[in-house]
Amino acid sequence: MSSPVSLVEYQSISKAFGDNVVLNDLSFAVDEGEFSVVFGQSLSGKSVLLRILLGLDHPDAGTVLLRGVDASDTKPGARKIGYVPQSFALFPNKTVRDNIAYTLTVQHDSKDTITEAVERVAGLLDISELLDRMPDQLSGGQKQRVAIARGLALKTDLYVLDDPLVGLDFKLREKLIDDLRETRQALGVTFLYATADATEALALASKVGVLSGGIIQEYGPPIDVYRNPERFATMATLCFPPSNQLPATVSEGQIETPWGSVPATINGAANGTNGVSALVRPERVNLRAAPNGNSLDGEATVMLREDLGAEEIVYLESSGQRFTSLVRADSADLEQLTLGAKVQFTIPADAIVLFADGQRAGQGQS
Amino acid sequence: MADIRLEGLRKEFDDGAVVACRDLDLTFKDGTTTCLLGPSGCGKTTLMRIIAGLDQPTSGRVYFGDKDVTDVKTRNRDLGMVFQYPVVYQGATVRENIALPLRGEDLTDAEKTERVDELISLIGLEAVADSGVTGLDSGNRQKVAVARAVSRYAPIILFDEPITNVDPDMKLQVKRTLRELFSRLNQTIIYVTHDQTEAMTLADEIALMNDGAIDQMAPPRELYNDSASRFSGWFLGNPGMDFITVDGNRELVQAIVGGPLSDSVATLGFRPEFVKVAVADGSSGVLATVKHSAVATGGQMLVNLQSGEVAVKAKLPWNTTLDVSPGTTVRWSVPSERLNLFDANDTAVVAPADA
Repeated sequence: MSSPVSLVEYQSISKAFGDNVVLNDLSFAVDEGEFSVVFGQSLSGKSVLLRILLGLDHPDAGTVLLRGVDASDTKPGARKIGYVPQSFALFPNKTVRDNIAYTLTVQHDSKDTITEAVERVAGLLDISELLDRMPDQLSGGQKQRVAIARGLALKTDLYVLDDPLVGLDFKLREKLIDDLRETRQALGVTFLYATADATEALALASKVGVLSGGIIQEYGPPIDVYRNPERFATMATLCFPPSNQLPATVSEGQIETPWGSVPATINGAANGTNGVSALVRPERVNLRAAPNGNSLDGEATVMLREDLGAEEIVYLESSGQRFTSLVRADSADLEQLTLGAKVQFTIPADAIVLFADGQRAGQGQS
Repeated sequence: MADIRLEGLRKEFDDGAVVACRDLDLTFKDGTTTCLLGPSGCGKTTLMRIIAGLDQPTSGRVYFGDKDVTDVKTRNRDLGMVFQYPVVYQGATVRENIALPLRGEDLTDAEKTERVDELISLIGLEAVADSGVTGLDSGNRQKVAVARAVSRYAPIILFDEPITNVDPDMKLQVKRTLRELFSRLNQTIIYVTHDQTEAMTLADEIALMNDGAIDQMAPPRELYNDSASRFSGWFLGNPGMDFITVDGNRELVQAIVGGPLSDSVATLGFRPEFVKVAVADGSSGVLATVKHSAVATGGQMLVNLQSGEVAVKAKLPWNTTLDVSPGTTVRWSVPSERLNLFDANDTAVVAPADA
């Protein structure tokens, strides 16, 4: 098997705005045929990362290789990258058809090429019926589809999508997530996609990178990264609900917490350091479960129950600490959990993952 | 008492080209928090504006208790309102803001102070009670607006997407405050939102609105578990229900249901979290190929399955050990008590067993 070609390679990219260092010696490569998602909280530098690839921003240091070639001197228009910007604006005085065709018209493609391209992407995004409408005759979701179609109209091998579903309502996002994944597959191209929404990142990505502290902390298939996070930022943020951080210290092979201690396997690096963080995913905080083997057990007060339909997030407080438990809605655990009620909780030791200096440093032992 | 009753309420725009409310007959129960939930453009904000007296209906009547208020001005309707953007008086303190609506009330100064203190503690504004509102964050500012709206203890309070513009990290706190407030106050509350989680979390009853009509009105869990329509099944849930049309898939649907279908059934629906998925070796269940698997809420696995032309989503528990990598063949089934049947009008068909 030949190793895949990196279509995009960021090499030691740094970028600051004044004193604000946004990207800090970041290296990261996107292979051909990936749905590559950069996940990061707002202001983490996602847009800057994409704009550097597009040639719309310039790094202070470092190089971007595009299709194996240093792109520093290539003008944005010559980079052959389809682009769906974050804040899209359709031309109000142009039809949907002309809006989608805009980029192609500007670069003087032939009429036939443009017609073919517009109809192809309109078909993919299920907006063929809307081509002769004006933007003000479209719903919010339809406008978003047109904006995505406009970005995809350019026939190329690489598309950059900057948080295109932000602000859309829930049901529209649900549909567009499936559509985007299938569209990329149908085109057989590469997507580089930025989002601040963990659920969206996990649903879309063939590979996901966590952008935090100016670098890609970790990059890999979402299921692997979710199950075996190597970096604190990954486990803390690339999930919904976010992971719980427990107050914990480590000494002599034990994780000590306000709810007792459990044995752990600990890397040398973490032993005796003060800077150890302990994370637990909400689905591992069991309510009303009988303690079984090594676990942290305590009593917590129910602060709020958020009902997502299929599951509920139970917000808890114990020993001054707030944390959440994620429970399937048909679970008997939820019975009689009124606000302010006391509930027993159990956290199995192996659900506790330790990090030191941002790096995975151990785990509890059940 | 102050239930809110709508009789044949209709609202048209553009000479009838747009109908925002389609002849609604509806009662919002006294002392109940009802969330008016629906997609953008469904007419929920228009309906609330008519109840508030900010818009006039094209036809139909609005009653508060026994009183016909259709032609009564907003300021005489004895209600409180909370909007998307908090309405507070800049330059006044939190305490002064909350006290302001009490000025014309028949209360002694001591009673007014007591009322304001009660609200400050109920809404959790103790720490900022004597601060100006100008410096408050979006969450506290909206809390002040809520306290102002309820301070007269008017029998009816209307909320129009009050959390939408609160900063994400403050939203939870405001939700918790509202949840507590709603359970303590005995007011009739209508709360407009497009967010199903917010509605499921805060409501005693949800009135689900679609295209100017009330699709279903029920307590949150009942609405989720017993969808009265395809719309309700689709709109609630993340993702919403799976649907299989009988037309073209009769044998498959019969296999899932485990028996013959009545003629009225046009669509089978079920929720992804109730789909059981197992290895292909077994003999029961529908064969399918895994098209895609992704980590979803709380580490659950959201699996896209393909059985011939039929696509189905299944949400498996976080600790599933089943191999669901793309291309794998599996079998799936749905327990009969989790099946929903809909007729050609997309309305739920009551199963013989339930009738």
